[in-house]
Amino acid sequence: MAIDQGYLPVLNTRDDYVDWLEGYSLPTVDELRAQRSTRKPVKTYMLETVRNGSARQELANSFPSRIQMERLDDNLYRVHDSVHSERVVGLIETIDDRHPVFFTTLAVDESDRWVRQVVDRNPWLDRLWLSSPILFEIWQYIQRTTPSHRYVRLGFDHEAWYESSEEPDESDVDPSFDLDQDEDVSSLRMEHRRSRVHLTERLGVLEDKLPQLIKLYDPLQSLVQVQVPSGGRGGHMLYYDGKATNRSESFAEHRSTVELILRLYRTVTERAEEMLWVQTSEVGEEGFSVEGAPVLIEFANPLPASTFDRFINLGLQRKTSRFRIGGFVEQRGRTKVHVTAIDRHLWQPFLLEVTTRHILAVLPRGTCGNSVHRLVTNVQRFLDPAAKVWLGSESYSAAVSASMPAK
Amino acid sequence: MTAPAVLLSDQVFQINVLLWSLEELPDGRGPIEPVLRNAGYYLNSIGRRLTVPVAEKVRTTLRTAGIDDLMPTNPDLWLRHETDLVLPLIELKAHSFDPPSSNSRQASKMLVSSVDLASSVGTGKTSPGHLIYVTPAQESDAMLRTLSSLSANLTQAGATVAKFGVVGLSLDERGLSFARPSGTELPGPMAKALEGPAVVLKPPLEHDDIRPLYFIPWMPGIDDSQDSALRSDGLRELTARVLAQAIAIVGRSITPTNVAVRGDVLLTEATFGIFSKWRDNDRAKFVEAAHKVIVKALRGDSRVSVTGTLIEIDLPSTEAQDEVLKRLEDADPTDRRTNLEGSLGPQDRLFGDEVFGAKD
Repeated sequence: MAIDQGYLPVLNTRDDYVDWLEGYSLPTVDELRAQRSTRKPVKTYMLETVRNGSARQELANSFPSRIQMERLDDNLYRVHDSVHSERVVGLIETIDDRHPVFFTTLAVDESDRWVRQVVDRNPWLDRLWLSSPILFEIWQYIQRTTPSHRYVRLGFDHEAWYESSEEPDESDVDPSFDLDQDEDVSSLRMEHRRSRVHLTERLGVLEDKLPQLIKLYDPLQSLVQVQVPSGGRGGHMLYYDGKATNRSESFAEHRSTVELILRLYRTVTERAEEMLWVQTSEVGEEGFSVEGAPVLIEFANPLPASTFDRFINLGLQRKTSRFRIGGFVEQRGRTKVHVTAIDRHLWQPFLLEVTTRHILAVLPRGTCGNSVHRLVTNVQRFLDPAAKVWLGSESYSAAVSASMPAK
Repeated sequence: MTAPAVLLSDQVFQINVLLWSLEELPDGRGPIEPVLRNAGYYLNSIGRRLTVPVAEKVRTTLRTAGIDDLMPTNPDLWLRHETDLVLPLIELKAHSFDPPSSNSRQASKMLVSSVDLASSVGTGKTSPGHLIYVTPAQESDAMLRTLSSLSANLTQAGATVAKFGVVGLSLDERGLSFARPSGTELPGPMAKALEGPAVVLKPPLEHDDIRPLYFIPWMPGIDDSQDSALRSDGLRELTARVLAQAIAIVGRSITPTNVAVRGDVLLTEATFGIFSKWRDNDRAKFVEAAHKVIVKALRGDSRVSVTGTLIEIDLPSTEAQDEVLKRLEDADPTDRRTNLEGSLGPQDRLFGDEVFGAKD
């Protein structure tokens, strides 16, 4: 049986592609005979286009020159990549004008690499960062809409990366996260708390037991994967870094699920930006006003001084930091720093106060709200799974909840 | 660590504490209690002009009191309240002052100009103001006596004066508090909020600095009165913000490209837009200093060309971009040879004295 590389065929219309992908998950006669599928599920990478000022780039200009985008209709592009001999590596659809999505059937290693190469060094593109409060809101949606006998899959991950007593000579690079993979090598040498938990259980059981489990074990507050059950079999696996895998029988339903997530994400992101952006405006003669509120992240328990030190040294000063924050650190005492910070992915400056008890961030006008979701996600994964977050005076979780479409 | 008395009298610290007290923050959480926001106040403006009313009686009374200068004043902060119609006008002072001082003339003008702010805000409706001086707590009784004396003199000369009050800043084991000296009058919601000492900045852990993040790291026109170490601190902070803006410009460019960096743009972005709104007597010197900070950080790099106030950086590849970023990120805002303070020189000042009023 030939190995399917996962390149898409060259088709010319949306309907052709939707029909092709709709039938893609169904096994071929050969596969049925062999009782295994060689087909890779459709992976969707939800992206953020970054304004970096007032206007967004033309979408095609946001991608490196190796990428050719052939427009099929107003919102759908066929994506050719010279690194892949100009073959079709996927489709990009601007489901909304801020958040294009990349649909691909490449093998997951290949598609993850593609996104890392195309997005992670690109200041005009970012992934969506589905923080735990956002994924818990999706979990609430699942509970409201899914029969209790259906199976649901949840994944939790917390690694107290900065808790280690080791000297901070390790790389702080974020290993690509996959709950199904073994731990990365450096982790085997480091001693610190690490929790990776998969739960696949009937919805009714999880509804009953999960709140108690979370109370007993706080790493379960760091939700990083949720599978939204399909109307038929399987479901749509959502990951914290904006990836979604179609494990259902329907591409159309998968796309609709992605659309739902994007509506939630856009609403909460724009709500945050409206509330948080610090800017000045002229008032009366010679006067001006300063508007905008900070982001407050309060740790459930104060960080030990050694953890705080490692976080400052590794998380905020290493260029390869998993927080991807750099800048100029001003020590304000033993356990307090002020940072003129730079988001080293989107290259947007902001201000941070970090102590053993909290992180306070002040974001200038134009800072992408995505940075807030990324910060929250990373704090919950690597510092404190039970940290509480406020956007101004509004709880982040409440802002997420209020942003759920058609609730 | 800065001595409490020095910190409390620092007007950069004062204005930032006031701004944080007006912020939207969760109740009882984090390092800051926004006591004025919780009492319903919000910021109307910084440095807005307060005009002396044209009414003959007002102007002749001021002249009788020996004040011929009828130029507008600029209270540091104008506040508004969600429901109360009284507008508090806040003036920050490092120390109290005596009635014969130059500050007294400014205070007298503010006292008569704040009675009705209609002419200053350009409305036909009566808009009562309430003048509030903020000083270190140990200065607040003296400040209140001075204001009372000025008010009595003006009243005796036939003027109607605005309500006035004093709020003291105190620092102790409870943190940084707003305190209301006995006998002072404050607008209703503020008086209620400050019935007891109202903690704005919670105490930090032992040996940590209580200073919050600064929205405004440096203020024009206070060089003569500001503690030199705090002034250096502010300019260091501003240097870091200028460098961060340059890093942002270079980092977000897509190579191959040329990017242009200008001192005035960096300063405006580094101050949330405030730089472009401040007065500019020495503005050019400061723009030049910001320009020098970047030029010094990139000195010797053949990809950089300087034409007048414009710094152009050629970025033919991501490798070139990474090298420029590294040089900017490796710059040291604390190095006086290359930071804003060093580039300004000891006598250089950015702005005029008028935006925040003359300072003691």
